[in-house]
Amino acid sequence: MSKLKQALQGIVGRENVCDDDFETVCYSRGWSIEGPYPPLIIVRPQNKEQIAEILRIANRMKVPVSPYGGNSELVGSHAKQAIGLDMTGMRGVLEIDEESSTVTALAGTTWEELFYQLSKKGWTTGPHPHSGPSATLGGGVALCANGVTGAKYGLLGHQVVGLEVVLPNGDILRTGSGAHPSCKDFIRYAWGSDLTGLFIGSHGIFGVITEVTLNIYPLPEAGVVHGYEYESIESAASALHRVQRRRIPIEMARIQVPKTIKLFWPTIKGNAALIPIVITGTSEEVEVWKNQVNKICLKEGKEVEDSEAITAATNDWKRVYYLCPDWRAWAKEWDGCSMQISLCNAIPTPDFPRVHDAFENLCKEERIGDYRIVAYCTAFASVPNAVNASPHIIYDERDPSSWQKGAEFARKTTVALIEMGHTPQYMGRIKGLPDVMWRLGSYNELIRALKRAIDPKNIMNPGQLMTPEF
Amino acid sequence: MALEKHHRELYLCNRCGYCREMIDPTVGAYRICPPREVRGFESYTGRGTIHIARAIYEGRLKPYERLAEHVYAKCLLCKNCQVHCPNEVDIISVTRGLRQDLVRAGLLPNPLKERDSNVKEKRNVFGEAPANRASWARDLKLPNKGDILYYAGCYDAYRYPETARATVAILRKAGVNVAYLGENEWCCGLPEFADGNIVLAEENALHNVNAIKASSAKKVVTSCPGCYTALKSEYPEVVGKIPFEVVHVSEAIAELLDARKIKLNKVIKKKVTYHDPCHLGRYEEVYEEPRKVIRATPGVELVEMQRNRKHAWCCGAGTETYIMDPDLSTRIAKTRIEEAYETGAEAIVTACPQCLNVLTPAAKRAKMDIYNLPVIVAEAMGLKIT
Repeated sequence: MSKLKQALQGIVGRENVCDDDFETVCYSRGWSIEGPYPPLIIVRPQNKEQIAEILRIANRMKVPVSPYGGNSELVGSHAKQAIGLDMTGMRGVLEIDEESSTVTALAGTTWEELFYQLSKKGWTTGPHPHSGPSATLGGGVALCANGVTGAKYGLLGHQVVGLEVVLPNGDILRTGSGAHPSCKDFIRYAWGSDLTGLFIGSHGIFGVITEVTLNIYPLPEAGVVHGYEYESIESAASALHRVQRRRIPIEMARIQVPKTIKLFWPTIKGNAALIPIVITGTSEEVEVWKNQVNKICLKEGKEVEDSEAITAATNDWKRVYYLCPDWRAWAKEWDGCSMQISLCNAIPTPDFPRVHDAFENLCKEERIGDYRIVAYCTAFASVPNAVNASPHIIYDERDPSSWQKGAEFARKTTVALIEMGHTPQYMGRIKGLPDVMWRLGSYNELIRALKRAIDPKNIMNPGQLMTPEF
Repeated sequence: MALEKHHRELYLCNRCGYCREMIDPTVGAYRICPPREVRGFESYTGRGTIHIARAIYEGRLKPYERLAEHVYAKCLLCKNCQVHCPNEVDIISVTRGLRQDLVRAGLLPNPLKERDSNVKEKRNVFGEAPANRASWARDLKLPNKGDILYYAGCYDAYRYPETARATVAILRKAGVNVAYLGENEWCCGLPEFADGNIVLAEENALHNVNAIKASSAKKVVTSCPGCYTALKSEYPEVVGKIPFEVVHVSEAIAELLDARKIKLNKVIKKKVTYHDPCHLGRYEEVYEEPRKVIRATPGVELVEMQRNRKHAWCCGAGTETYIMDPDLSTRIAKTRIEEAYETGAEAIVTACPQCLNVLTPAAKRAKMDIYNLPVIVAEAMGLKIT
């Protein structure tokens, strides 16, 4: 038995360590195209003190550490040949503070579990993360996940009030107001610089998130779904932009383009764009906001006649809130064996038509159809003032040429669209490209300097952010 | 390579993790995989099975003894992952394909080899004397021919004779001239379908089909959900269309109640909860008949566990797991009993001898009674089962 395994077993017990190849292979890939990259060994810590010990050992032995949550990430966010920390042994809602409207939970808690516990008390969090129901709070925060309800609440990062993090040297840090032992976790901005922000979207390069405190909101008592059709993507984007500019708190809005209309709403014919909008709140609020949205959206568009189709498709929450395998429908001839690369990046709403057209041109130039690849670019309101323009690249995972071309096309697309202002909130190996990141200049330099200071031996999830070494 | 047949399934999995955790408006957020909840590692999930199978299929992983032991111990074949998979990946078939390849590679673990050799030599999973298979019916004077045949299965024949006798008593009370195969009844073969020993499974299937044909039965009633799914769904894959109908005892009793051929008169004042056996529920989608029978029992109040029907938590009796990792089975059973206890029920009713077997110790510890359905029905009918 290796010294590493022995040391880890000494910390968490034999039953929580495994290095069998049939076990590590199960952690070798998430929902992304990246991999397979099996970890060296898997450890299931049960508390932060154990994590601190593990990081001290990793530092001593110079072995990288990569935290795993729901293993449903879409971007390739785990270090190769690392100690894999399976965080799901640390789960549970610790406190729902109804006075402060916050919830504190362990990082291995799944979003599903959190929603369920909150809903029993009449509360909800803001955005739902995009990946599957096994996704965890720690993973969502570390990747700054976004979700379709961001139209109302913003990104997941916007919801974070405070964190507990085990730093690479084993020290335990609390951020936000709760950093002071006398203060509750109720406000993020306290005690000077916003250290919480350092860890949001960090891909785990600065430490292991062990506890998360989030804002919570009263569960909406009412909701309506409306659909609007437009003759061009430009007019659809313009309508959504006007809704957002008025700050009408719609919960969800997505711009569907011809390719996706054909797939999801085959009964709706002849229009270039479609916006399904979900409005939630109290019954009175919904009525007021619905009228405001109607006034704006009907200026250039018309209400979808087949309201049943729009309601059915939008009310299927799994379809709306998760990247459910709808893309299988694109690839019926592939027997359903299709996988997706999702390049969700933010863009000011009026710029979406430009990104959409550029993406479509890239698809043609690269002749992706020759490689069993289909791709489309929709947008959803991920924050109250912009959209997440989401190129989806669907490939046949059984076909290595389709797979390779898919990855290559994803990288080319990322570089081209970032040059157009397409801005990633999270990266991972799919998006964290050196040929793009060097243009961040001193921003990049400061991140590197911080990394050197906090993690001098570079043990925390190397290769995920900014540059290959970090 | 048996996995070749499941090529599509290996690539159909998107690794989304719905087989690990999901939310359903009726039951809330809950976990999907019982072994994973105990052991914690990813390999226990449906997604884990696909990872392992695909790595073997692509040559990234070579099968060896420890891997084989894990593949048999880790999965109860409870099908909870499969029924919740949005891509409808046939995880059970992949698991079986993987196990078939392990059998072909000579990697069937010893405890299962022993079980299979019992079936090969004695035609029952316990290695009991074949001559004792019909002991439960020694004084019942059951004919070997008839329209309706009762198939007891290894568990009820050797371990729970009161269930077999209760079933026969109920049927007889309804005026059914029930027949049986006696010592000519062999193990249904489900354990071998499950562990990948297909040659042996098919041997048993062929024997039983021929024996049932010889009995002239038009309908086979069984009290074991494992036997039920073997006879009803596995045998047609081996022999083609079978010339008899197969029903579970819960369906038979529900039908007799509907036809007013039996009456449940005796009041049994008990609050009970029903545990859905995986092979009866998720495999064959028989959810309502057992409940209908329980509700028809005078004095009995049926309360549901949070996870019921399609969402029911397995009892832990998945046979290979039970043999390979009994501690895992026991811990899963404990969780299920805790869930039953939380309902406030005094007793658990199930409709499967294997569930009964694994749940009984935990139920005893929780001071809860546990019944197999035919036994409580016989009691409600005032039948004395000795």
